[in-house]
Amino acid sequence: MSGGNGVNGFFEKEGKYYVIKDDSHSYEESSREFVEKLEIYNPIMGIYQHKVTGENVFPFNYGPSTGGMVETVDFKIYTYGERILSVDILPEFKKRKIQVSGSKFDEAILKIERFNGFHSFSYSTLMVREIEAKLGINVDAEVIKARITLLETERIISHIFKTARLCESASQNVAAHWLFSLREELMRTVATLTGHRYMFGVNRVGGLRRTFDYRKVIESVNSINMQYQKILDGLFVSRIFIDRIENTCIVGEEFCRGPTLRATGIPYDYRMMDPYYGKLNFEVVTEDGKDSLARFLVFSSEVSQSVNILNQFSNSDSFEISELGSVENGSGGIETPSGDARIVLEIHKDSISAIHIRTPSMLNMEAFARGISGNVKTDIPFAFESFGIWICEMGDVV
Amino acid sequence: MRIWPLDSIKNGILTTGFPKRKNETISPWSTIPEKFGQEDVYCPADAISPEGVNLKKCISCGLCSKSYEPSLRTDNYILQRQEPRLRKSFKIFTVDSGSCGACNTELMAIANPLYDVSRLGIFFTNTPKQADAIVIMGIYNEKMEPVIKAAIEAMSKPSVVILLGACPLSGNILGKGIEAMVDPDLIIGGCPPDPFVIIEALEKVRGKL
Ligand code: SF4
Ligand code: SF4
Repeated sequence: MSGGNGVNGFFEKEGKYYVIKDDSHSYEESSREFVEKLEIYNPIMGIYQHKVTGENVFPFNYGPSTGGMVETVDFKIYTYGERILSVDILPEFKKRKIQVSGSKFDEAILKIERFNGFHSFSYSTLMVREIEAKLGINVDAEVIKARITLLETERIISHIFKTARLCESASQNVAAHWLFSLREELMRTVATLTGHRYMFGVNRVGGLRRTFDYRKVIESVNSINMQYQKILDGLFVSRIFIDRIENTCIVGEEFCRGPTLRATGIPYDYRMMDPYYGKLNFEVVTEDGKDSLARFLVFSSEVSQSVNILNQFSNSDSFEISELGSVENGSGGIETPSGDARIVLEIHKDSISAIHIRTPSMLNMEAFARGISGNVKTDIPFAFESFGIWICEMGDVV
Repeated sequence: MRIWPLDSIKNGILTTGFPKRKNETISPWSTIPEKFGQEDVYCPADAISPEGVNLKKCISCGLCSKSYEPSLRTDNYILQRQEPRLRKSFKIFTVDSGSCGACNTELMAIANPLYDVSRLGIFFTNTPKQADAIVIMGIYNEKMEPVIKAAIEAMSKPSVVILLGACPLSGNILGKGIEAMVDPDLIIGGCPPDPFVIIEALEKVRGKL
């Protein structure tokens, strides 16, 4: 899916505009006029603009620093009462510009982990695989299994967090507390085994800096999943919860990535193309409701799907690297828990010489801005949580 | 149909007794590293000196593991001033100036049932007007400077200013810190700080430890 005209992302550098085309691993020069027509983003102001005017219409500000949100973001809501006519979104208050080009590989990996700390392992893997591909390094099966374990565990942690935040916003406090406890338990396991709750410092070019027994992580993931399914059983029969999230923030497939896109019925998951997942057996989870309920159903089903993926190689002694495929050409992308992120990277000796990244939140934010129109203001918190958007990954990596 | 309260009773008490009892776990590299070997090591944050590891600079990366190991201690903070008038109740307002999201979720984690800081009289508030403490995370960001200053100004007195994580303390390896802009009563190191470290530091600043 693209933001229009087959374009997957764009960036500006030294006054020139470049676009990344769909299914492409490289970028090409474009023009500001073309980028502006994409209607994704105002490259000058850094604002997702949807201004409307009319009789009695007034802008209502929510943010930039409001305790109810996880991160700093400003919503300018155009309304004449409760109903939202349109929203401008200003993510630039906390916008960071992270200087990666010029950094040696080790330092660049530490920086990209801190681009989105919540999905740090996805981003570090995106970068190390690209470097390994350029250097012609093939890592062994055990490294790939350990990386997949942490990628899927990060997805499970992220999806449980989203479920908890959704329950919290929909006043399902008992379920929310229980879910936050599950996430905490899993993070403690990750910390004990890898040395860090957010997996910082674990990845490196050519392998892992700290080795760990991935089977122990998988054991813990299985036990957490059993409890997670019990909570879901309760949520699925709660009319209050379902009514609250059903039919809110309905989106079209435009701009959506990851679970948000799959909740519009489109079976797109970067793992289907990812050589690490080569012959692992799984199907892309889809729903067709396009609303907060459909997004919830997708990411909650993806928790079981991740557990199944991990059990496939954990239970099999004969699982060979050939089944996982090779990464000779680099993947250029990764399915983060919020959707596919893409990278274009150039290296010089042991350093990064150029880097461009397109993250799922950059596009999901536009999908949210479009979908929330027509809803009421009190829908914003849980509608937003259902998208899994991280403002931190809307910053610049240069 | 599941009846969650019954499940919760079956699960028993999961909440820690910390700080009265010992912490159950800790994120190893989020604690300050201690020297054990003589081999020269590279620190990407320039945190290592002959005096030891500077908690303002350490980014919890573990790249020094050939000669340093995590201390696993919960005292990775520096207290500049205590405010014992906040012993009874302590409401926190959070500000993210430019974080990676992990400090935000670690701070939120202290409210989950495994830590449940409401038992200590610690709560979160959505407005600085009701806050006893402001916790600032992330690197310096010009656009957030007036927001932070206005939030500190709006707080009722007595109140405390807290910086959380390597980003506001030194800028991490990502940018500029915030310490020069505010006058913090408490700084907490780590990238991100572990929830147990955060709880101990908060109890210290309100004079309960
Ligand atoms: S953990 Fe990283 S930042 Fe901290 S002292 Fe060691 S090398 Fe330096
Ligand atoms: S200190 Fe570390 S964990 Fe906290 S916001 Fe900065 S990079 Fe993220």
